[in-house]
Amino acid sequence: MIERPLPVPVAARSRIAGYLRTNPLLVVGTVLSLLIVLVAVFAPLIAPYPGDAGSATHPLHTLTPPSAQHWFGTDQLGRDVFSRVVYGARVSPVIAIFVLLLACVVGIPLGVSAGYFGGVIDDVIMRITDVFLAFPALLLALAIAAVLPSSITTVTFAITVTWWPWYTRLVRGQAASVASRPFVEGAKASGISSARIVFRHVLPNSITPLIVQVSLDVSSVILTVSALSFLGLGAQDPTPDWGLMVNQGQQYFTTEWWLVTFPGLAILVTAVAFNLLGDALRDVLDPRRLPSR
Amino acid sequence: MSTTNSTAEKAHAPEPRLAIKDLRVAFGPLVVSQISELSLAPAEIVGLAGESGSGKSMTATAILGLAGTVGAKVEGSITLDGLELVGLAESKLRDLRGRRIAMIFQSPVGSFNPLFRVGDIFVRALRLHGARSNAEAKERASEALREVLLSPDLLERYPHQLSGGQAQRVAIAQALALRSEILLADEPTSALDVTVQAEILDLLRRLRAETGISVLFISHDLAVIAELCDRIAVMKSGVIVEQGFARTVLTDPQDPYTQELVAAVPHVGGGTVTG
Repeated sequence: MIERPLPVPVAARSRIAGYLRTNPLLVVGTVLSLLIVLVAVFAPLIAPYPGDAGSATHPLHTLTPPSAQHWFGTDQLGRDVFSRVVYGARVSPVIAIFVLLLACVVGIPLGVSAGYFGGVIDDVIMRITDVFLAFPALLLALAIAAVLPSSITTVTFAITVTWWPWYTRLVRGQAASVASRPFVEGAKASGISSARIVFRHVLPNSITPLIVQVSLDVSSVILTVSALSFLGLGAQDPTPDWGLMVNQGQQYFTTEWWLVTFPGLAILVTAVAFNLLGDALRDVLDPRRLPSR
Repeated sequence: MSTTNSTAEKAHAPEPRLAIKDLRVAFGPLVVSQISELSLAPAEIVGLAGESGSGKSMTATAILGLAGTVGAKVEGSITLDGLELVGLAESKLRDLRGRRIAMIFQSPVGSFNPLFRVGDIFVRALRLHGARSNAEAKERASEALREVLLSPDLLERYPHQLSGGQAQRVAIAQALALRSEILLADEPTSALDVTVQAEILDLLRRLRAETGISVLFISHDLAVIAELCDRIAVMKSGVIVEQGFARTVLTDPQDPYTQELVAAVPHVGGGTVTG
């Protein structure tokens, strides 16, 4: 009485393709994310006035509303807002990606070790984490950014320092619950080494919520970068940082709405795109969420 | 406080494959398992019965040398074909685990990593324990699946696509593929319905006859143990209160606790009833 098998699951690649077909929102997220990457890469070709993303100023054309010549209008220094928004894709999204990568590199191994091994290892790691979490994130980032020369590297470092403890916590909780699941016991009983259990069995099963969190955090990091830039601790004026542009445009908002609106929309679109991408990743990474055939 | 059916015990004397002597597993002052003697001969199925918290699973954990990982201290002697396992180096123990001593668990589906296909799980285990190539590992896995009456197509599935019965067979097949000598079965049928349970018991009986694998069958269910096991050890509060041939213990229990347990199961000895 050989039991009849279910249809064989398809390979990962066609699984992703299948997903995109069944869920149009994920297509939107993926396409938008790709678009942002393309804009960042090809900024010099897309921007009509590449010089305006740098130190160029045009005192005779300040604060002109959107027109065929300047799609998004010009700012208080006469610079083309469209060109600056396009170049902006090279600033805060890139900082965000570095911050999140570094936070993962630091946070994940600590969290998995704390959750899986427990005991003293857990205590030591989590108490250190608590110390970092004890400070309000923005204040800590401010303090760090203030003592270091203001630059994009400083911003990246300062935000990373406040970001990783959340990931350690998140992963630790997951890893602790995965560590008590029967298959981990099974892995131990099959003679698999601790290192292998941690990286092959516990980590992949604890990482999904983190992936989603990271994708949601892209927008938060961009906003934090903006906040630091506004306070003069991050990107400095000629740098076309979206957050900086929003903050600088604030005082003109009631009359010259385009200064705030377009960089603001850029932040919004980027945030939504990465959130949708995060959802897609979560689905694709979890074989239990295979579309039913 | 150990009442042994000693006459029966003496008559039964093939060379044991696994022998436990004066084992003591404790968390600090709390002793969870204290076994003066328990053995497992080749092709023998021994039932370890007792209520929850009586130390059954902890004994299995100690046999695998994993009691230390949960913070317990193990003293005494556990030998596998004369090799002392208590105090053996972790790397040597790791090599034994899964290969010579395999274990199956109560939650059949849950005991597989949900992210790996059945085939990957087999290939990894087999490569870890001696298969020379992935192809050889796959071949041995398919063969083992056929032995437990499953289609080798299952290798392509994820654990959540298996039924409880299938998953438990896959777990047993893994022990077969690795040619384990001892199978520690910790409540392997408790999560399965009665018909599937009967199939698994049949399978264990058949494999024991065909491959000579020894099984330590841990269960709270005396009816299942009565149906399957050659000998029984009854545990209570970490101590074996009675052990002997299954029939003897079940028809003529000496210890008051065993008497209670036997009385609690309807029609034990009838051979077909499950609790």
